[in-house]
Amino acid sequence: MASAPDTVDGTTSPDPAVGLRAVAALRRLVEQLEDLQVANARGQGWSWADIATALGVSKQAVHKKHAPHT
Amino acid sequence: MFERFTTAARGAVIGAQAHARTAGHAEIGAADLLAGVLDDATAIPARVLADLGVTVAEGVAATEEVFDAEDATALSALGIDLDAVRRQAEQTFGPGALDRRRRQRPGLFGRRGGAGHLPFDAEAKSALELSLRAAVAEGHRHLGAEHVFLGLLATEQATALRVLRRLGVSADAAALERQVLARLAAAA
Repeated sequence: MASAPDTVDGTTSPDPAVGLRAVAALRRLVEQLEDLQVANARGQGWSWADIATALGVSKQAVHKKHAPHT
Repeated sequence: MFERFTTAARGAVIGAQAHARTAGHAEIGAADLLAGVLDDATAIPARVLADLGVTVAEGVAATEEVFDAEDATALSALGIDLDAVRRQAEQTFGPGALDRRRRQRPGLFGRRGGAGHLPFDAEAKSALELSLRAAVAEGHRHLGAEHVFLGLLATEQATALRVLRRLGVSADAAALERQVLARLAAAA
């Protein structure tokens, strides 16, 4: 899609609306991918510590964000 | 600002919040607000759309499609093909793998983001302000879901109109406003 030559460069556009929209969309995509990958890792028996290491965040952070509350 | 809202208008705002949560939005956007307004099939906005051949379900689904389409456009500007990412995720993890992963596991009492309300984004805020203005302009003492709909039609960003275009509705904001006001007058 969007192969038009006048496609704006989202990250470097001088218009904040365009740039910020791109960042917001990217953040949503990252969150979706993270959820998907963490669920997959848990399904394959990965520990929270291993997942945290792979994501480059603390074990507490990943647990707080993704562990089902009981 | 919500003190003049009718029960239906409050319901639409609460519905918008639910739509935003389900879709995993960090804020309540104009598209979420539109979905909240359209939820009530007996209210004027849904009936105006029904006259134009659009069902509530189609209208609500389109609000999400527009959001996704705009995300895809924004990401393509970064050189990311959202459709390709989605296809790949589905190849590995099955259909719908990437969709609505967020908020899919609300804990007891909807733990995730369940505390407190989602904020409105700039356009949704503007739509709510414009809805108040529309009610005042028409001399209405109440602010109903129909006024919220009018507010959504009047925003600079025009997300609601883009949703309607997607559904094949070609009427412009002024024409839709006339239909809303005509139904309102008929109901009075």
